[in-house]
Amino acid sequence: MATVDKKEYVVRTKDLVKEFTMGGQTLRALKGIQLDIYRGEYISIMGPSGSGKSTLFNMVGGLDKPTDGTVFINDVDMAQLDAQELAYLRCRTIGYIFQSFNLIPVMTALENVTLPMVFAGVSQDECTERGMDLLKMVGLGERYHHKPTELSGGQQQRVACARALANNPSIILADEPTGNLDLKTGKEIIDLLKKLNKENNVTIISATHDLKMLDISDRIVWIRDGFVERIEEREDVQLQVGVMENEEH
Amino acid sequence: MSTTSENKFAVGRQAQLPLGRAFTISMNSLKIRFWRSMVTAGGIFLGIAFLATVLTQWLMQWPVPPKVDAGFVRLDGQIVGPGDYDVYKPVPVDAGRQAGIPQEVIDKVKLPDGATFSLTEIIQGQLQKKRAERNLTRVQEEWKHLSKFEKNLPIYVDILAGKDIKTTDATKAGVPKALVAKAVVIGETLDGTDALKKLRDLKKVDAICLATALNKDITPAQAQQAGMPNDLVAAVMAVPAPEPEEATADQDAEASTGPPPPKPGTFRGSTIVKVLDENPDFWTEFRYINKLRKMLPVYADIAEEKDIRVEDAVTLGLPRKTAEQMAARFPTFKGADLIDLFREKTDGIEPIYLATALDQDIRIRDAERAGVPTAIAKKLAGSGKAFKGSSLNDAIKDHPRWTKIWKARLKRNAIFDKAPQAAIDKLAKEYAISLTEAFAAGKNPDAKTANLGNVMIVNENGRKLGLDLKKEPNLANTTPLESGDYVFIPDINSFYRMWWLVGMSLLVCMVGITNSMLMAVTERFKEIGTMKCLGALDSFVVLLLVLESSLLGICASALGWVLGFISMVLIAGFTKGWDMVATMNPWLVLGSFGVCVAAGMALTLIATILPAMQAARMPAAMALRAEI
Repeated sequence: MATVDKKEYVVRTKDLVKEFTMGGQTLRALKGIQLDIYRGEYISIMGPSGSGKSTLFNMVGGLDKPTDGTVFINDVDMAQLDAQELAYLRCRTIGYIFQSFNLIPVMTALENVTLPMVFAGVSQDECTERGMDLLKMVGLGERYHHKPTELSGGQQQRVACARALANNPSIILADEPTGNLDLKTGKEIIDLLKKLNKENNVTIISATHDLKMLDISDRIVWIRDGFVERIEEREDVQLQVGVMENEEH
Repeated sequence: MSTTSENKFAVGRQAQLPLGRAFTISMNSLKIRFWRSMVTAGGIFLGIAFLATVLTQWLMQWPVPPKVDAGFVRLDGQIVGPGDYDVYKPVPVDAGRQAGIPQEVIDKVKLPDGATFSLTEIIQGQLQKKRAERNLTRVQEEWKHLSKFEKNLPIYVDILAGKDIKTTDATKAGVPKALVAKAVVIGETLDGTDALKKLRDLKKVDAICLATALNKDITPAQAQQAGMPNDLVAAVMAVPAPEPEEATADQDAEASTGPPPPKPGTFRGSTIVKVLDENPDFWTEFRYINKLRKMLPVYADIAEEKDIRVEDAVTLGLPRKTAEQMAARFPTFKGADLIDLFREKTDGIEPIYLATALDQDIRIRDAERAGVPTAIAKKLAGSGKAFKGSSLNDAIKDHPRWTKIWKARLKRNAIFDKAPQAAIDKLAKEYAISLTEAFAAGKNPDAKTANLGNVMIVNENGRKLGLDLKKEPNLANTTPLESGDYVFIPDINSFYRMWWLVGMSLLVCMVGITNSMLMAVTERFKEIGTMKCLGALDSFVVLLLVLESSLLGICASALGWVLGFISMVLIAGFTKGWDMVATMNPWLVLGSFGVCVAAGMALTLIATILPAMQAARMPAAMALRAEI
């Protein structure tokens, strides 16, 4: 925490509140979240189901609008953006990885990867070239013409990672990226994310239940009932991981 | 490794996506979900096919209503005569007289007010007369053919009943003589005694045969005299010496009961039969004996006055003609025998009689060949290909009635011919009622309520004259009904039914397409959400969906039109004839294609744009969460 001043913020939330109205009842999913995330950080957001993890995620990713409070991304207030600007932001600044991969089923791996570039107005040739590079990077260079249904879960998630990186975003939002994968492929994805974090200096914000994720995180944010319960540094967590892994075996 | 220039995020505008790329994506999407797309397209396809059938039906010139004689008016598909509906104003008597209509004609059609008369009635009268003439000629022409049947049918009815039939009647009715003779033979009605008498008359009778048959005593001299060759007589006298003894012995044995023994020097006729029976080969070399042997049974029959077959009589020496005459003299033979013959061999006689008598089905073709006028055969057959035999009989019986009717009508209307044509034409022009007047004065309630906009004037070919009274109401006031034209008010119900059909087909399209598109959009909420995450604008999502559905709409509508058009053409071609199909204007066919495709596209767009916009506006988070 000593180096805070030298780091630049990439995401900041201030008194973030989100309410849902369901069946006449108002549900407060987020009750004033304060969170600062620095450039190049690997952040894991942990918390039980229903704690507001995903809601926070959607707020940060600009997929939903907060009821109150503000989200700054690269010091820009998301609430001030119009639809076009928001689309621009989603296209170029943020890359998304979902638990269920969310590849477009009618497109090949390459087409999926290049889709954000298409939205960004990149020329066809450049799209293809960069798309192939990204696929090679995630180890799927040979399978660019395969449809999502022809790929395994791990491979699909790797395509999703490549897609998230399409427009060189500064943030990757990964919502339980290993949730639908087995241990081994989950590990592969985690390694890939760590590699991206290290080599491309991409800020990675990931929501997860996977304890292996904690191992490589810089910080872990614990959320409970719409509040930030505690924020832990990596060193504190490592011990806990060991304990829990022992319990597992 | 981040650069400070990225520190401040510069908000830019999203590059406008080229339409070509969107098009490619849509095409891909359709191609990949081919079968799903086909299901979606199915709704559009069927709806448009339905619409196309309705439109195609419209384009065809459906069978023209039968021509109606001038002066008759066709209202709602019903012919209305002058009693209900006049197409000429009442003409003043003076004007009529001036024009040259004879007084007696005017008197006949005078209207109750006494000062005017009905021109329509004169024209009607003339038409009626012409029609009566035509029909009378036809009935008489038909009778020429039918009378033949009338004369001969009773015989066949008798034949059917198995009654006895006079051979002469049968011959007159056209039954070949040979067949009659055969029937007679089967009937075996040649009387034995008559034949004997005839044979005696002809002096051809073989006395010895007769004597043998009658078992009389025969002297060798008699035998010789009867025509036995001399050498044969000698042989008989020389060789069969013991035979008479035998015969005598036989006769002795039977003496107590049988006839007295033969006189010495003679033999009993039956002895010859006996000898022949016992020694069949003994005399075979002698033709005469052979003849005896063959003929004896006949003589025996004659003797017993049994019926003899004509053929046998001929062999016996009776001339064929005489035998047949004798047979024919017997007044009747069994009808049932003739029927059997007919059934065996029907050529040479007219099977139609038989069929009529038996009330069998008669094919139009056969009836024509037998001489029944085609018109009658067709009338009797109705819609079928054959008619019941008895109905021909009925038609024949109906003839006098119709002749009477047409004759009476001809007589009644003859007076109207006295009105000169020129005078009628002149008056018709002067006193024609315009359409408006016609409807205003119409006694037919339908005429009063008829919407003038639905009135067509149709010329004698049944073609519309292109008179649109709705657009040109003045035309209705000035256009007189001309001779040969008639007013045709299309059945208003069917007119609305047509629109109702079109409306229904569009509605079916709409429901089908909306349902399909709603499904297509909602099942892709997640995909839409993902696209939005990747930076797609709302407008792009809408564009993508609209493009996709438009492509689908165009293809499905075009195919639907093809199906509807072809099926309607085939149905019309096979049921109403290909001429009707040929009446379609190719430009209008093209137009109907355009209308169908446009309708399909428009409906698809309407059905797509709402769910697409709803999906695009949805927050990305919610779209992503959506599960179908």
